Amino acid sequence: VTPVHPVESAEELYEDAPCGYLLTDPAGRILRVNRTFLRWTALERDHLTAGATRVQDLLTAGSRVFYEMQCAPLLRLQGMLREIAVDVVCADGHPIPVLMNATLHMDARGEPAVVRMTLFDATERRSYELALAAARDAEGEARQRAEELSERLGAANAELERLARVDALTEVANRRALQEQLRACVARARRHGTDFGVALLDVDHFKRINDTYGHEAGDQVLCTIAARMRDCVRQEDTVGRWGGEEFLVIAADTSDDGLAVLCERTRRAINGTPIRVGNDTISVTASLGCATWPDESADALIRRADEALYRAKDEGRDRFVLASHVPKVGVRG
Amino acid sequence: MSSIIERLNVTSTGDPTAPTLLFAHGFGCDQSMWRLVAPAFESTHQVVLFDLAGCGRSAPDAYSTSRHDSLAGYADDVLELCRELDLSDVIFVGHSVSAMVGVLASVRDPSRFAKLVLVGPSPRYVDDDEYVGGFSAADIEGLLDALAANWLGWSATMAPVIAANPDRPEVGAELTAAFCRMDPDIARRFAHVTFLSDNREDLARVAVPALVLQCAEDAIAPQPVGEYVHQHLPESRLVLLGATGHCPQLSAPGETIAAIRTFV
Repeated sequence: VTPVHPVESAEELYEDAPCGYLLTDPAGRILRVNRTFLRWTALERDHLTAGATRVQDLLTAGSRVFYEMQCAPLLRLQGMLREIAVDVVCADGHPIPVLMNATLHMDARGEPAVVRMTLFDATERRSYELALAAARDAEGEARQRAEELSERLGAANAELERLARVDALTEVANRRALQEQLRACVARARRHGTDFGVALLDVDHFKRINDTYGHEAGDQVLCTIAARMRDCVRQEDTVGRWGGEEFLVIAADTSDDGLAVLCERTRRAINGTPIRVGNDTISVTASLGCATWPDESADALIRRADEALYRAKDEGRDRFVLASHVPKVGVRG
Repeated sequence: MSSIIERLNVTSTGDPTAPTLLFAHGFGCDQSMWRLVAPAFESTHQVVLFDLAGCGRSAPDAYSTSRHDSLAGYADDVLELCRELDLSDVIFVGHSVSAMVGVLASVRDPSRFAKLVLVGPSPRYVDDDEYVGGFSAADIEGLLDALAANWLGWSATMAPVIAANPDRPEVGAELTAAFCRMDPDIARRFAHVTFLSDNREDLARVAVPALVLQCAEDAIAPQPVGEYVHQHLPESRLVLLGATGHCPQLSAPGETIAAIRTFV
C-alpha cells in the first residue's frame, strides 16, 4: 500500500515560508501578511490589515526615514527594491533587522496597484555587517594611531639622534660629533683642497675652580665658556666639548691668520668678563693651541694643536699658540 | 574646475523663452525624482533639473567638504547655477531638504527668484522645546545607522545584483546605480547637514511668495511642520495634499502638478 503524501497547499507555502510576505497598496497600507511575519513580530493580523497600518509604520524611526526618502521613491521609479536593510519593530518594541525585497505591480491603466514584499531575517547578517563596520572603524583608528605613533617615533628618533651628538652638560657638540665633523673636513680638504683649522681650548686652573667653588660651579663655568665660544665662531664652524675642561673648535675654510683672529677673540671673550655663579664672581682664563690643515691625518692635526696648547700653558696660560706646519712655532697673545 | 552645468548634471528642457521652473531633489535621490512631474511643464515653462553636489550623476569634484558642510553651500550652488544659466524670475521647486536650500538661496539673492514651491519642507527635523520637528536626537542616530547599514549592504551586495539582473529594464539598474552612487562618506555628511540643520530663523527673511505642499501621513515632515513653515513665511499659501508619504511628486504626480500649476 502506497502511503498517501499530503500535498502542500499554496496557502501553506505562503503562510509558513521562511520569509515574511507583505502585500500593500502603493501608499504602503498593508493588505495581506503571512504567518511567518506575524510569528517574528508577535503583531496581530487583524490589526495589521485593518487598513490603517502602513509598512513604514512598522519600521524604526531611522529605517522609516530611509524608507520614505530613498526606498519608496526608488520603488516607484524602477518598480523594485532589492535587499534593503531596515529594522522592523516587534510588538514588544524590540527591532529585528530584515532585508526587504519589493516589487511594484501596475494595473491595466499603468498606474501603481499593489506592492509585494518579501522580508528575510537578517539578524545574523546584520551582526556580521556591524562587526565588519566595527572592524573597518577599528582598522581606521588603528591606522591613524599607527601614523601618530610613527610620527612620534620619528620625532623621538630625531631627538635621540640629536642627543647622541650633543654634550649633555654644555649642549655643544660632543666628541663623537666632533670626530665626524673632523673626518668630513679632512675628506673635503683632500678632495677639494679647501683649508680648515682646529683650536683646542683648555680652561686654566679648572681643578682649582672646582675645589674652591664646587663641582656645580665648575659645571656652570664650562657651560658659560661653551656659550661664549659659540658666540665667537661663524655659522659654518663647529664648537664641541673634547673632554673634561677641553673644548675644540673646527673652523671651516680658514687660514692661519683667520684662525688666529678666532682664537684671540675667544680668549678675550673668556677672560674679558668674570663668570657669576650664585653669589660668586669667578675670573676665568683659557689657553688655546691651534693648527691648520694640511697634515697627515685628523689625529696628527689634533696632536699638533695639542702640542701648541701645551706650549701656551707653558708660556703662562691665557694665550693661544698657533702650530706651524714646519717645526716653527709662532707665539702670539 | 568645470562649469556648474557639468558639475551638477544640469538638464534644461521646455520653452527657453518661458519662465523658468528649477526643480531640486531631496536627500538620498537625484533629479529623476521629478520624472513624473517636470515634463508636464515643458509646454509652458523652461524646465531645469540638476543633481545636488555629491548626489546622482553630479561630478566627483562638485562636492567639497568645506563648501557643503551646511545647507548654505548647496544654496550657493543654486545661485551659481542661476548665474551660469543667466536665470532670473526663477520659480524654484524644492523637495524635502532642497525646500530649505531654496529658502536660503532666495534669502541670499532675492533678485533671482519669483516664487518658491516648497514640497514637504522642514526647517528643523529635531524637536526643540515647543517646536515639533517630528524626530528625537536618538531617531536621527537611528537614521544614520540605517544609512550605514544600507550603504554597507549595498556596496557589498547590491551592485552585483543590479549588474546581474536580467529581467529588469536597463533604466531600472541605471537608476538604482545613480541613486546609490552617493559616496558613503558624503552620504553621512549630507545626512548630518540635512537632519541636524535649523533654518527656522531664515523663513521670515524670504522675500518672495511661497507655496507649501504638505502631504498626509508624512513621517519626514509631518503636518505641524508644514503649518509652522506656512506661518513663519511672510507670504505663503499652504496646500494640504491628499497624497500620503513624503514624495507626492511620485505617489500623486497629477495632484502635485495641479497644485503647482495654480500657483505659477
